Amino acid sequence: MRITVRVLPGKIEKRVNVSNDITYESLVTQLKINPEEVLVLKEGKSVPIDDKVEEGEITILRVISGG
Amino acid sequence: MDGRAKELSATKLATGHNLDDEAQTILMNYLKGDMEKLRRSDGEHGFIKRIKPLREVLEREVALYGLLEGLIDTSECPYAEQSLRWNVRKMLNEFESNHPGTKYALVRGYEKIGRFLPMGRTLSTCERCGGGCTGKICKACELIEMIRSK
Repeated sequence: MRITVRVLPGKIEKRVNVSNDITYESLVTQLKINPEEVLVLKEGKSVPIDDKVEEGEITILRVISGG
Repeated sequence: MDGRAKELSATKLATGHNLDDEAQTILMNYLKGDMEKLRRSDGEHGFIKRIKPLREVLEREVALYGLLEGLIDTSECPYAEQSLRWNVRKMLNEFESNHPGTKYALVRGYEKIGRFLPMGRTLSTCERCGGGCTGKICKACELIEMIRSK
């Protein structure tokens, strides 16, 4: 399955090939991002990180606050 | 914040520190060997008593709540990458990923030993703004100066 992932903040858009039974957690890890530091949104709504990835608009929101 | 709280005759000052903030502060001060500063993060004489209602809540969960309530701001602090805190945050998140519960354990462990640490220096008055501080100039005035000099 070929999906497009937006990473915020930063307006980064990545196209990745993933297997059909991958979880959001594996997807985030595959992009070299620590799952601890993000929320994953599907069509703008938060999804559990251990759910299986479905096709659609996926956003990885880095929830990092200042120093 | 302390000045405003006193104006309002507040008896407590609630801050938004979450579990990540607390675990980072503890580990940072361990790494610097600064036990006095660590102790001061619990509050000091002369300042209004601080309370931290979100102390046991992960930053990610605070963010999730913010997202659901439409409160979230996705911009990042431009100074975040310069700080030791940034490195400690990365390190702690890697630990949390591989060993869930690390952040909570750090905070719990500190609660057991914190009260045995000395309070250290007494509070003085900031030369610029007159607020309470531990050095000559308070952190707020120090940061304002840093931003202006850029």
